[in-house]
Amino acid sequence: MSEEKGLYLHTLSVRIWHWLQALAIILLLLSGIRIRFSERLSFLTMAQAVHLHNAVALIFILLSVFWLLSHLVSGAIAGYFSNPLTLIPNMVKQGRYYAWGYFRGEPNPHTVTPKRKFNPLQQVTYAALMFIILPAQVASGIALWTLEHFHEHSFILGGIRVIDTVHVFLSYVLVFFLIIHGYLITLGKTPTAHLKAMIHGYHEHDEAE
Amino acid sequence: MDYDQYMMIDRKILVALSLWLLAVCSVPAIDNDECMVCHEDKETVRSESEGMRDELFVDNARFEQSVHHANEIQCVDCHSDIVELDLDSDVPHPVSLKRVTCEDCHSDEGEAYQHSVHRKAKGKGVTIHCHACHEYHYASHLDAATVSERKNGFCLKCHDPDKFHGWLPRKKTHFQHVECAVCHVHVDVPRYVDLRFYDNNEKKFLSGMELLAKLETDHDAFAELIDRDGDTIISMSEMAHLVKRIKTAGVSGTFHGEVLVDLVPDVHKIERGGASRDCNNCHHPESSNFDNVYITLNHADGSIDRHRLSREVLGSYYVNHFYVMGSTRVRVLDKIGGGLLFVGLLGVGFHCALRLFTMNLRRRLRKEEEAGRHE
Repeated sequence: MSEEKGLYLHTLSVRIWHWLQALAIILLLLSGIRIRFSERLSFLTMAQAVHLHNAVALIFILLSVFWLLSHLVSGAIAGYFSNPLTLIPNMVKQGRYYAWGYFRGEPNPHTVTPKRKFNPLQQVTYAALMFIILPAQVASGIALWTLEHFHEHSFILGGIRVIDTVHVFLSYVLVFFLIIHGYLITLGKTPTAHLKAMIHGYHEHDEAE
Repeated sequence: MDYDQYMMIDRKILVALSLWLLAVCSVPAIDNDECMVCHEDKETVRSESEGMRDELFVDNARFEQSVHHANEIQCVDCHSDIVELDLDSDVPHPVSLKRVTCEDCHSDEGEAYQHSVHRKAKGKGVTIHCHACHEYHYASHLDAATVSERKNGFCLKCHDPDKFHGWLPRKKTHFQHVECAVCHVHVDVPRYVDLRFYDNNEKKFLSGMELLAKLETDHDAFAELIDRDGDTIISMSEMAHLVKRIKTAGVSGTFHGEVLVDLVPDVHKIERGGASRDCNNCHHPESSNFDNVYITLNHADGSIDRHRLSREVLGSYYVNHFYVMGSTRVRVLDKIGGGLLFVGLLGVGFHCALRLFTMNLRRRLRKEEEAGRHE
Protein backbone atom coordinates (compact mmCIF):
# COMPACT_ATOMS: atom_id res chain seq x y z
CA MET A 1 0.00 0.00 0.00
CA SER A 2 2.83 2.37 0.88
CA GLU A 3 4.34 1.63 -2.52
CA GLU A 4 1.17 2.90 -4.15
CA LYS A 5 0.81 5.94 -1.96
CA GLY A 6 4.51 6.81 -1.71
CA LEU A 7 6.76 7.31 1.26
CA TYR A 8 5.10 7.50 4.70
CA LEU A 9 6.66 10.77 5.79
CA HIS A 10 4.41 12.58 8.25
CA THR A 11 3.22 10.63 11.29
CA LEU A 12 -0.28 11.14 12.63
CA SER A 13 0.93 13.17 15.60
CA VAL A 14 2.97 15.47 13.34
CA ARG A 15 0.00 15.99 11.04
CA ILE A 16 -2.37 16.76 13.91
CA TRP A 17 0.20 19.10 15.45
CA HIS A 18 0.80 20.82 12.11
CA TRP A 19 -2.83 21.57 11.39
CA LEU A 20 -3.65 22.62 14.95
CA GLN A 21 -0.61 24.90 14.96
CA ALA A 22 -1.64 26.30 11.56
CA LEU A 23 -5.17 26.95 12.82
CA ALA A 24 -3.81 28.60 15.96
CA ILE A 25 -1.47 30.85 13.94
CA ILE A 26 -4.30 31.89 11.61
CA LEU A 27 -6.60 32.69 14.55
CA LEU A 28 -3.80 34.59 16.27
CA LEU A 29 -3.11 36.58 13.12
CA LEU A 30 -6.79 37.34 12.51
CA SER A 31 -7.45 38.42 16.09
CA GLY A 32 -4.15 40.33 16.14
CA ILE A 33 -5.05 42.19 12.96
CA ARG A 34 -8.48 42.96 14.44
CA ILE A 35 -6.83 44.39 17.54
CA ARG A 36 -4.27 46.45 15.66
CA PHE A 37 -6.54 47.83 12.95
CA SER A 38 -9.60 48.43 15.07
CA GLU A 39 -10.67 51.40 12.96
CA ARG A 40 -11.04 49.24 9.85
CA LEU A 41 -12.20 45.88 11.19
CA SER A 42 -15.18 45.02 13.32
CA PHE A 43 -15.72 41.26 12.97
CA LEU A 44 -15.19 40.92 16.73
CA THR A 45 -15.38 43.47 19.53
CA MET A 46 -12.03 44.57 20.86
CA ALA A 47 -12.66 42.69 24.10
CA GLN A 48 -13.61 39.49 22.24
CA ALA A 49 -10.55 39.79 20.01
CA VAL A 50 -8.23 40.20 23.00
CA HIS A 51 -9.81 37.27 24.87
CA LEU A 52 -9.60 35.08 21.75
CA HIS A 53 -6.00 36.10 21.10
CA ASN A 54 -4.98 35.26 24.67
CA ALA A 55 -6.84 31.92 24.72
CA VAL A 56 -5.44 30.77 21.38
CA ALA A 57 -1.97 31.95 22.41
CA LEU A 58 -2.14 29.60 25.37
CA ILE A 59 -3.08 26.70 23.08
CA PHE A 60 -0.28 27.71 20.73
CA ILE A 61 2.24 27.61 23.58
CA LEU A 62 1.04 24.15 24.66
CA LEU A 63 1.31 22.90 21.07
CA SER A 64 4.83 24.32 20.82
CA VAL A 65 5.85 22.59 24.04
CA PHE A 66 4.39 19.32 22.69
CA TRP A 67 6.34 19.76 19.44
CA LEU A 68 9.60 20.42 21.26
CA LEU A 69 9.26 17.48 23.66
CA SER A 70 8.14 15.01 20.99
CA HIS A 71 10.95 16.05 18.65
CA LEU A 72 13.51 15.81 21.44
CA VAL A 73 12.31 12.36 22.50
CA SER A 74 12.06 10.97 18.97
CA GLY A 75 15.30 12.58 17.82
CA ALA A 76 13.45 14.18 14.90
CA ILE A 77 14.85 17.51 16.00
CA ALA A 78 18.10 16.52 14.26
CA GLY A 79 16.29 16.98 10.94
CA TYR A 80 16.43 20.74 11.51
CA PHE A 81 20.23 20.81 11.58
CA SER A 82 22.97 19.66 9.25
CA ASN A 83 26.70 19.95 8.70
CA PRO A 84 27.42 23.69 8.55
CA LEU A 85 30.25 23.09 6.07
CA THR A 86 27.93 21.57 3.46
CA LEU A 87 24.87 23.59 4.36
CA ILE A 88 25.70 26.76 2.45
CA PRO A 89 26.73 25.03 -0.84
CA ASN A 90 23.60 22.90 -0.59
CA MET A 91 21.46 25.99 0.04
CA VAL A 92 22.94 27.62 -3.06
CA LYS A 93 22.23 24.46 -5.04
CA GLN A 94 18.63 24.36 -3.78
CA GLY A 95 18.17 28.07 -4.44
CA ARG A 96 19.46 27.66 -7.96
CA TYR A 97 16.92 24.88 -8.48
CA TYR A 98 13.98 27.10 -7.43
CA ALA A 99 15.25 30.09 -9.41
CA TRP A 100 16.36 28.31 -12.58
CA GLY A 101 16.34 24.51 -12.68
CA TYR A 102 12.68 24.15 -11.77
CA PHE A 103 11.61 26.05 -14.88
CA ARG A 104 13.73 23.75 -17.06
CA GLY A 105 12.30 20.61 -15.50
CA GLU A 106 15.56 19.70 -13.79
CA PRO A 107 15.38 17.18 -10.93
CA ASN A 108 15.07 18.47 -7.36
CA PRO A 109 18.59 18.21 -5.86
CA HIS A 110 17.11 17.12 -2.54
CA THR A 111 15.72 13.62 -2.08
CA VAL A 112 13.16 13.35 0.71
CA THR A 113 13.61 10.61 3.31
CA PRO A 114 11.99 10.27 6.75
CA LYS A 115 15.25 11.45 8.33
CA ARG A 116 15.88 14.21 5.77
CA LYS A 117 12.43 15.66 5.26
CA PHE A 118 13.65 19.16 4.63
CA ASN A 119 15.81 20.48 1.84
CA PRO A 120 18.63 22.83 2.94
CA LEU A 121 16.54 25.98 2.45
CA GLN A 122 13.62 24.46 4.34
CA GLN A 123 16.00 23.34 7.06
CA VAL A 124 17.32 26.86 7.65
CA THR A 125 13.86 28.43 7.35
CA TYR A 126 12.18 25.98 9.73
CA ALA A 127 15.07 26.13 12.19
CA ALA A 128 14.82 29.94 12.24
CA LEU A 129 11.05 29.65 12.59
CA MET A 130 10.96 27.05 15.35
CA PHE A 131 14.01 28.12 17.36
CA ILE A 132 14.15 31.90 16.89
CA ILE A 133 11.02 33.51 15.46
CA LEU A 134 8.28 31.57 17.27
CA PRO A 135 10.08 31.53 20.65
CA ALA A 136 10.68 35.29 20.33
CA GLN A 137 7.05 35.74 19.37
CA VAL A 138 5.90 33.67 22.34
CA ALA A 139 8.26 35.52 24.69
CA SER A 140 7.15 38.96 23.52
CA GLY A 141 3.51 37.83 23.68
CA ILE A 142 3.92 36.55 27.23
CA ALA A 143 5.64 39.81 28.17
CA LEU A 144 2.73 41.83 26.77
CA TRP A 145 0.23 39.45 28.36
CA THR A 146 1.71 39.66 31.83
CA LEU A 147 2.94 43.22 31.64
CA GLU A 148 0.37 44.54 34.06
CA HIS A 149 2.12 42.62 36.82
CA PHE A 150 5.49 44.27 36.28
CA HIS A 151 4.50 47.40 34.40
CA GLU A 152 6.77 49.73 36.31
CA HIS A 153 9.76 47.49 35.61
CA SER A 154 9.04 46.89 31.93
CA PHE A 155 11.85 49.28 31.04
CA ILE A 156 14.16 46.28 31.50
CA LEU A 157 12.78 44.98 28.19
CA GLY A 158 12.82 48.44 26.61
CA GLY A 159 9.25 49.36 27.41
CA ILE A 160 5.84 48.29 26.15
CA ARG A 161 6.32 49.88 22.77
CA VAL A 162 9.58 48.04 22.10
CA ILE A 163 8.06 44.70 23.15
CA ASP A 164 5.04 45.40 20.97
CA THR A 165 7.27 46.34 18.04
CA VAL A 166 9.03 42.97 18.26
CA HIS A 167 5.68 41.16 18.50
CA VAL A 168 4.10 42.97 15.56
CA PHE A 169 7.18 42.80 13.34
CA LEU A 170 7.47 39.04 13.91
CA SER A 171 3.77 38.74 13.04
CA TYR A 172 4.52 40.33 9.68
CA VAL A 173 7.43 37.88 9.25
CA LEU A 174 5.03 35.01 10.00
CA VAL A 175 2.56 36.23 7.39
CA PHE A 176 5.48 36.52 4.96
CA PHE A 177 6.38 32.92 5.80
CA LEU A 178 2.78 31.78 5.25
CA ILE A 179 2.72 33.39 1.80
CA ILE A 180 5.96 31.72 0.74
CA HIS A 181 5.08 28.42 2.45
CA GLY A 182 1.63 28.40 0.87
CA TYR A 183 3.17 28.83 -2.55
CA LEU A 184 6.11 26.46 -2.20
CA ILE A 185 3.88 23.54 -1.21
CA THR A 186 2.44 23.72 -4.72
CA LEU A 187 5.84 22.85 -6.20
CA GLY A 188 5.46 19.10 -5.61
CA LYS A 189 4.80 16.37 -8.13
CA THR A 190 1.38 17.93 -8.54
CA PRO A 191 0.25 21.31 -7.13
CA THR A 192 -1.63 19.55 -4.29
CA ALA A 193 0.82 16.70 -3.63
CA HIS A 194 2.51 18.29 -0.58
CA LEU A 195 -0.81 19.46 0.83
CA LYS A 196 -2.26 15.95 0.55
CA ALA A 197 0.90 14.52 2.11
CA MET A 198 0.25 16.57 5.22
CA ILE A 199 -3.28 15.13 5.30
CA HIS A 200 -2.69 11.40 4.72
CA GLY A 201 1.00 11.29 5.56
CA TYR A 202 2.33 9.84 2.29
CA HIS A 203 4.83 11.76 0.23
CA GLU A 204 4.67 11.30 -3.54
CA HIS A 205 8.19 11.38 -4.87
CA ASP A 206 8.90 13.73 -7.66
CA GLU A 207 9.64 11.75 -10.77
CA ALA A 208 13.25 12.75 -10.45
CA GLU A 209 13.54 11.67 -6.82
CA MET B 1 -8.61 124.60 42.39
CA ASP B 2 -11.44 124.77 39.90
CA TYR B 3 -14.80 123.10 40.30
CA ASP B 4 -13.93 120.08 38.13
CA GLN B 5 -10.75 119.36 40.09
CA TYR B 6 -12.69 119.70 43.32
CA MET B 7 -15.34 117.25 42.10
CA MET B 8 -12.66 114.78 40.96
CA ILE B 9 -11.01 114.73 44.37
CA ASP B 10 -14.40 114.49 46.01
CA ARG B 11 -15.25 111.45 43.90
CA LYS B 12 -11.93 109.77 44.71
CA ILE B 13 -12.53 110.26 48.41
CA LEU B 14 -16.00 108.78 48.06
CA VAL B 15 -14.72 105.76 46.14
CA ALA B 16 -11.91 105.18 48.66
CA LEU B 17 -14.35 105.48 51.54
CA SER B 18 -16.73 103.04 49.88
CA LEU B 19 -13.98 100.50 49.28
CA TRP B 20 -12.84 100.82 52.89
CA LEU B 21 -16.35 100.28 54.17
CA LEU B 22 -16.78 97.31 51.87
CA ALA B 23 -13.50 95.86 53.06
CA VAL B 24 -14.41 96.35 56.70
CA CYS B 25 -17.82 94.79 56.21
CA SER B 26 -16.47 91.84 54.26
CA VAL B 27 -13.93 90.90 56.92
CA PRO B 28 -15.51 87.96 58.70
CA ALA B 29 -16.65 88.60 62.15
CA ILE B 30 -14.84 85.50 63.28
CA ASP B 31 -11.31 84.71 62.28
CA ASN B 32 -10.19 81.13 61.60
CA ASP B 33 -7.75 81.36 64.48
CA GLU B 34 -10.64 81.83 66.86
CA CYS B 35 -12.28 78.62 65.62
CA MET B 36 -9.02 76.75 65.90
CA VAL B 37 -8.72 77.59 69.57
CA CYS B 38 -11.12 74.71 70.13
CA HIS B 39 -11.13 72.79 66.87
CA GLU B 40 -7.40 72.29 66.69
CA ASP B 41 -7.64 70.44 69.97
CA LYS B 42 -8.14 66.71 69.54
CA GLU B 43 -9.76 66.57 72.95
CA THR B 44 -12.67 68.74 71.84
CA VAL B 45 -15.85 66.71 72.05
CA ARG B 46 -19.53 67.46 71.77
CA SER B 47 -21.26 68.41 74.95
CA GLU B 48 -24.48 67.34 73.31
CA SER B 49 -25.17 65.20 70.31
CA GLU B 50 -28.01 65.24 67.85
CA GLY B 51 -26.80 62.14 66.12
CA MET B 52 -23.76 63.64 64.45
CA ARG B 53 -20.67 61.59 64.96
CA ASP B 54 -18.17 63.53 62.92
CA GLU B 55 -15.00 64.65 64.60
CA LEU B 56 -14.77 68.23 65.75
CA PHE B 57 -11.03 68.21 65.34
CA VAL B 58 -9.64 70.06 62.33
CA ASP B 59 -6.03 69.49 61.35
CA ASN B 60 -5.07 73.07 60.68
CA ALA B 61 -1.82 72.10 58.97
CA ARG B 62 -3.77 70.05 56.42
CA PHE B 63 -6.45 72.71 56.12
CA GLU B 64 -3.78 75.22 55.23
CA GLN B 65 -2.82 72.97 52.29
CA SER B 66 -6.39 72.89 51.07
CA VAL B 67 -7.76 74.66 48.05
CA HIS B 68 -10.22 76.57 50.22
CA HIS B 69 -7.50 78.01 52.41
CA ALA B 70 -5.52 78.88 49.29
CA ASN B 71 -8.54 80.89 48.19
CA GLU B 72 -8.78 82.59 51.61
CA ILE B 73 -12.06 80.97 52.52
CA GLN B 74 -12.82 81.38 56.21
CA CYS B 75 -14.58 78.82 58.43
CA VAL B 76 -17.65 81.01 58.76
CA ASP B 77 -17.93 81.47 55.02
CA CYS B 78 -19.21 77.91 54.94
CA HIS B 79 -20.50 77.61 58.50
CA SER B 80 -22.43 80.76 57.85
CA ASP B 81 -24.95 80.50 60.64
CA ILE B 82 -22.27 81.49 63.12
CA VAL B 83 -22.11 85.22 62.72
CA GLU B 84 -20.87 86.24 66.13
CA LEU B 85 -18.89 84.34 68.67
CA ASP B 86 -17.81 85.57 72.04
CA LEU B 87 -15.28 83.10 73.29
CA ASP B 88 -16.28 83.85 76.86
CA SER B 89 -20.00 83.46 76.54
CA ASP B 90 -20.93 81.80 73.21
CA VAL B 91 -18.70 78.71 73.41
CA PRO B 92 -19.62 75.99 72.88
CA HIS B 93 -21.71 77.32 70.05
CA PRO B 94 -25.03 75.61 69.15
CA VAL B 95 -24.62 72.03 68.10
CA SER B 96 -27.19 72.25 65.35
CA LEU B 97 -25.29 74.18 62.77
CA LYS B 98 -26.86 74.40 59.38
CA ARG B 99 -25.47 71.84 56.89
CA VAL B 100 -22.84 73.37 54.69
CA THR B 101 -24.16 73.76 51.17
CA CYS B 102 -21.26 73.57 48.77
CA GLU B 103 -23.60 74.47 45.90
CA ASP B 104 -23.73 78.05 47.18
CA CYS B 105 -20.33 78.51 45.60
CA HIS B 106 -20.04 75.43 43.38
CA SER B 107 -23.36 75.86 41.64
CA ASP B 108 -22.45 74.19 38.34
CA GLU B 109 -21.02 71.18 40.14
CA GLY B 110 -24.13 71.05 42.32
CA GLU B 111 -26.40 71.14 39.27
CA ALA B 112 -24.45 68.34 37.57
CA TYR B 113 -24.57 66.28 40.75
CA GLN B 114 -28.36 66.52 40.85
CA HIS B 115 -28.44 64.23 37.81
CA SER B 116 -25.92 61.71 39.06
CA VAL B 117 -26.51 58.20 40.31
CA HIS B 118 -24.92 59.24 43.59
CA ARG B 119 -27.53 61.93 44.17
CA LYS B 120 -30.33 59.61 43.09
CA ALA B 121 -29.23 57.10 45.71
CA LYS B 122 -31.10 59.36 48.10
CA GLY B 123 -34.28 57.76 46.81
CA LYS B 124 -33.04 54.52 48.33
CA GLY B 125 -32.32 56.16 51.64
CA VAL B 126 -28.62 56.74 51.03
CA THR B 127 -27.47 60.33 51.21
CA ILE B 128 -24.08 61.01 49.72
CA HIS B 129 -22.92 64.50 50.52
CA CYS B 130 -20.11 66.27 48.73
CA HIS B 131 -17.77 65.68 51.62
CA ALA B 132 -18.19 61.91 51.33
CA CYS B 133 -15.82 62.13 48.38
CA HIS B 134 -14.14 65.50 48.86
CA GLU B 135 -13.52 65.46 52.62
CA TYR B 136 -14.68 68.25 54.87
CA HIS B 137 -11.79 70.55 55.26
CA TYR B 138 -8.96 69.21 53.17
CA ALA B 139 -10.23 69.40 49.59
CA SER B 140 -7.17 69.94 47.47
CA HIS B 141 -6.27 70.70 43.87
CA LEU B 142 -6.72 67.56 41.82
CA ASP B 143 -5.40 68.76 38.49
CA ALA B 144 -1.98 67.23 39.13
CA ALA B 145 -3.42 64.15 40.85
CA THR B 146 -2.61 60.80 39.29
CA VAL B 147 -5.10 58.08 38.37
CA SER B 148 -4.19 56.31 41.57
CA GLU B 149 -4.69 59.40 43.70
CA ARG B 150 -7.97 60.26 42.02
CA LYS B 151 -9.52 56.80 42.27
CA ASN B 152 -8.16 55.99 45.73
CA GLY B 153 -9.35 59.30 47.06
CA PHE B 154 -12.79 58.98 45.56
CA CYS B 155 -14.28 55.94 43.85
CA LEU B 156 -12.46 53.26 45.83
CA LYS B 157 -13.78 54.62 49.10
CA CYS B 158 -17.02 52.82 48.28
CA HIS B 159 -16.53 50.75 45.14
CA ASP B 160 -14.51 47.61 44.54
CA PRO B 161 -13.83 47.57 40.79
CA ASP B 162 -12.64 43.96 40.89
CA LYS B 163 -16.20 42.85 41.64
CA PHE B 164 -17.28 44.14 38.26
CA HIS B 165 -15.59 44.63 34.90
CA GLY B 166 -15.38 40.90 34.25
CA TRP B 167 -15.81 41.62 30.54
CA LEU B 168 -12.85 44.00 30.47
CA PRO B 169 -9.55 42.59 29.22
CA ARG B 170 -6.50 43.72 31.15
CA LYS B 171 -8.48 44.96 34.11
CA LYS B 172 -5.43 45.81 36.17
CA THR B 173 -3.80 47.76 33.35
CA HIS B 174 -6.97 49.76 32.84
CA PHE B 175 -7.35 50.42 36.55
CA GLN B 176 -3.71 51.52 36.78
CA HIS B 177 -3.68 53.89 33.86
CA VAL B 178 -7.23 54.99 33.16
CA GLU B 179 -9.25 57.09 35.56
CA CYS B 180 -12.64 55.52 36.38
CA ALA B 181 -14.45 58.59 35.07
CA VAL B 182 -12.96 58.14 31.58
CA CYS B 183 -15.52 55.40 30.97
CA HIS B 184 -18.09 56.40 33.57
CA VAL B 185 -18.86 60.03 32.75
CA HIS B 186 -20.63 61.51 29.79
CA VAL B 187 -18.76 61.44 26.49
CA ASP B 188 -18.83 65.25 26.30
CA VAL B 189 -16.46 65.62 29.24
CA PRO B 190 -13.01 66.15 27.71
CA ARG B 191 -10.41 63.45 28.27
CA TYR B 192 -6.67 63.89 28.05
CA VAL B 193 -3.41 62.01 28.42
CA ASP B 194 -0.99 63.06 31.11
CA LEU B 195 2.60 61.95 30.71
CA ARG B 196 4.43 61.16 33.93
CA PHE B 197 8.13 60.57 34.23
CA TYR B 198 9.28 57.35 35.88
CA ASP B 199 12.77 57.46 37.37
CA ASN B 200 14.40 54.06 36.93
CA ASN B 201 17.02 54.73 39.59
CA GLU B 202 14.67 55.96 42.28
CA LYS B 203 12.03 53.47 41.13
CA LYS B 204 9.19 55.95 41.41
CA PHE B 205 7.24 58.49 39.43
CA LEU B 206 8.63 62.00 39.81
CA SER B 207 6.27 64.83 40.62
CA GLY B 208 6.58 67.89 38.43
CA MET B 209 8.64 69.68 41.04
CA GLU B 210 10.95 66.70 41.46
CA LEU B 211 11.49 66.51 37.71
CA LEU B 212 12.33 70.22 37.59
CA ALA B 213 14.78 69.75 40.44
CA LYS B 214 16.50 66.93 38.55
CA LEU B 215 16.80 69.17 35.51
CA GLU B 216 18.01 72.02 37.73
CA THR B 217 15.40 74.36 36.32
CA ASP B 218 12.13 75.99 37.33
CA HIS B 219 8.65 76.26 35.87
CA ASP B 220 9.34 79.29 33.68
CA ALA B 221 12.66 78.03 32.39
CA PHE B 222 11.16 74.58 31.72
CA ALA B 223 8.61 76.08 29.33
CA GLU B 224 11.40 77.77 27.39
CA LEU B 225 13.52 74.64 27.59
CA ILE B 226 11.02 72.37 25.87
CA ASP B 227 8.88 74.68 23.74
CA ARG B 228 11.78 75.93 21.70
CA ASP B 229 9.75 77.48 18.90
CA GLY B 230 7.32 79.09 21.34
CA ASP B 231 4.19 77.78 19.61
CA THR B 232 2.84 76.38 22.94
CA ILE B 233 2.83 72.80 21.57
CA ILE B 234 5.67 70.38 22.17
CA SER B 235 6.42 68.80 18.82
CA MET B 236 8.12 65.46 18.20
CA SER B 237 11.52 67.12 17.76
CA GLU B 238 11.03 69.19 20.92
CA MET B 239 10.10 66.01 22.80
CA ALA B 240 13.29 64.42 21.46
CA HIS B 241 15.21 67.39 22.82
CA LEU B 242 13.54 67.06 26.22
CA VAL B 243 14.36 63.34 26.42
CA LYS B 244 17.97 64.12 25.48
CA ARG B 245 18.09 66.88 28.10
CA ILE B 246 16.83 64.46 30.76
CA LYS B 247 19.50 61.94 29.80
CA THR B 248 22.16 64.65 29.85
CA ALA B 249 21.09 65.47 33.40
CA GLY B 250 21.97 61.89 34.33
CA VAL B 251 18.38 60.83 34.92
CA SER B 252 17.43 57.38 33.73
CA GLY B 253 13.77 56.83 33.05
CA THR B 254 10.94 57.29 30.63
CA PHE B 255 7.49 58.71 30.25
CA HIS B 256 4.40 56.73 31.17
CA GLY B 257 0.94 57.92 30.28
CA GLU B 258 -2.39 58.07 32.07
CA VAL B 259 -5.82 58.79 30.66
CA LEU B 260 -7.75 61.30 32.76
CA VAL B 261 -10.80 63.51 32.56
CA ASP B 262 -10.83 67.28 32.70
CA LEU B 263 -12.19 68.40 36.03
CA VAL B 264 -15.17 70.25 34.63
CA PRO B 265 -18.44 70.35 36.64
CA ASP B 266 -19.99 67.58 34.53
CA VAL B 267 -17.60 64.99 35.98
CA HIS B 268 -20.07 64.91 38.87
CA LYS B 269 -22.83 63.66 36.55
CA ILE B 270 -22.17 59.94 36.68
CA GLU B 271 -25.36 58.28 35.55
CA ARG B 272 -26.60 54.79 36.21
CA GLY B 273 -25.97 52.64 33.13
CA GLY B 274 -24.06 55.49 31.55
CA ALA B 275 -20.67 53.80 31.55
CA SER B 276 -19.32 53.15 28.11
CA ARG B 277 -18.23 49.68 27.03
CA ASP B 278 -17.17 50.84 23.61
CA CYS B 279 -13.46 50.06 23.46
CA ASN B 280 -13.19 52.18 20.32
CA ASN B 281 -13.53 55.27 22.51
CA CYS B 282 -9.83 54.78 23.17
CA HIS B 283 -8.68 51.92 20.95
CA HIS B 284 -9.10 53.83 17.75
CA PRO B 285 -6.43 55.84 15.94
CA GLU B 286 -8.72 58.87 15.74
CA SER B 287 -9.95 58.73 19.33
CA SER B 288 -10.50 62.24 20.64
CA ASN B 289 -9.30 61.07 24.04
CA PHE B 290 -5.76 61.48 22.77
CA ASP B 291 -6.16 64.88 21.15
CA ASN B 292 -4.91 66.54 24.30
CA VAL B 293 -1.61 65.32 25.65
CA TYR B 294 0.11 67.11 28.51
CA ILE B 295 3.06 67.07 30.81
CA THR B 296 1.67 68.44 34.07
CA LEU B 297 3.99 70.09 36.55
CA ASN B 298 2.71 70.90 40.02
CA HIS B 299 3.57 73.92 42.17
CA ALA B 300 4.01 73.75 45.93
CA ASP B 301 0.50 75.10 46.50
CA GLY B 302 -1.05 72.38 44.35
CA SER B 303 -1.64 74.54 41.31
CA ILE B 304 -0.23 73.35 38.01
CA ASP B 305 1.44 74.23 34.76
CA ARG B 306 0.38 72.15 31.79
CA HIS B 307 2.58 71.78 28.76
CA ARG B 308 0.72 70.54 25.73
CA LEU B 309 2.31 68.02 23.39
CA SER B 310 1.59 67.09 19.84
CA ARG B 311 -0.54 63.94 19.61
CA GLU B 312 2.01 62.23 17.38
CA VAL B 313 4.37 62.04 20.37
CA LEU B 314 2.15 59.25 21.74
CA GLY B 315 3.02 57.08 18.75
CA SER B 316 6.74 57.54 19.21
CA TYR B 317 9.44 55.67 21.06
CA TYR B 318 9.87 58.67 23.38
CA VAL B 319 6.74 57.48 25.19
CA ASN B 320 7.75 53.86 25.56
CA HIS B 321 5.45 52.96 28.40
CA PHE B 322 2.16 54.18 27.05
CA TYR B 323 0.76 52.02 24.34
CA VAL B 324 -2.93 51.80 23.54
CA MET B 325 -3.62 48.95 21.15
CA GLY B 326 -5.03 50.14 17.86
CA SER B 327 -4.63 53.75 18.82
CA THR B 328 -1.05 54.82 19.45
CA ARG B 329 0.59 52.25 17.24
CA VAL B 330 3.84 52.93 15.41
CA ARG B 331 2.63 53.58 11.86
CA VAL B 332 6.03 53.12 10.24
CA LEU B 333 6.08 49.54 11.50
CA ASP B 334 2.99 48.75 9.43
CA LYS B 335 4.62 50.32 6.39
CA ILE B 336 7.70 48.11 6.84
CA GLY B 337 5.49 45.05 7.40
CA GLY B 338 3.34 45.92 4.40
CA GLY B 339 6.50 46.25 2.31
CA LEU B 340 7.67 42.83 3.46
CA LEU B 341 4.36 41.23 2.46
CA PHE B 342 4.42 43.06 -0.85
CA VAL B 343 7.88 41.65 -1.58
CA GLY B 344 6.63 38.16 -0.65
CA LEU B 345 3.60 38.40 -2.91
CA LEU B 346 5.67 39.91 -5.70
CA GLY B 347 8.19 37.05 -5.46
CA VAL B 348 5.42 34.44 -5.47
CA GLY B 349 3.65 36.16 -8.36
CA PHE B 350 6.87 36.40 -10.36
CA HIS B 351 7.75 32.74 -9.76
CA CYS B 352 4.20 31.66 -10.57
CA ALA B 353 4.22 33.66 -13.81
CA LEU B 354 7.54 32.13 -14.85
CA ARG B 355 6.19 28.72 -13.94
CA LEU B 356 3.21 29.19 -16.25
CA PHE B 357 5.35 30.78 -18.94
CA THR B 358 7.81 27.85 -18.95
CA MET B 359 5.19 25.12 -18.69
CA ASN B 360 5.48 24.16 -22.38
CA LEU B 361 9.26 24.24 -22.17
CA ARG B 362 9.20 21.74 -19.28
CA ARG B 363 6.73 19.48 -21.16
CA ARG B 364 8.92 19.54 -24.24
CA LEU B 365 12.10 18.82 -22.27
CA ARG B 366 10.34 15.98 -20.43
CA LYS B 367 9.15 14.43 -23.70
CA GLU B 368 12.64 14.72 -25.16
CA GLU B 369 14.05 13.07 -22.04
CA GLU B 370 11.46 10.25 -22.20
CA ALA B 371 12.18 9.80 -25.90
CA GLY B 372 15.89 9.62 -25.09
CA ARG B 373 15.22 6.92 -22.49
CA HIS B 374 13.23 4.81 -24.97
CA GLU B 375 15.99 5.08 -27.52
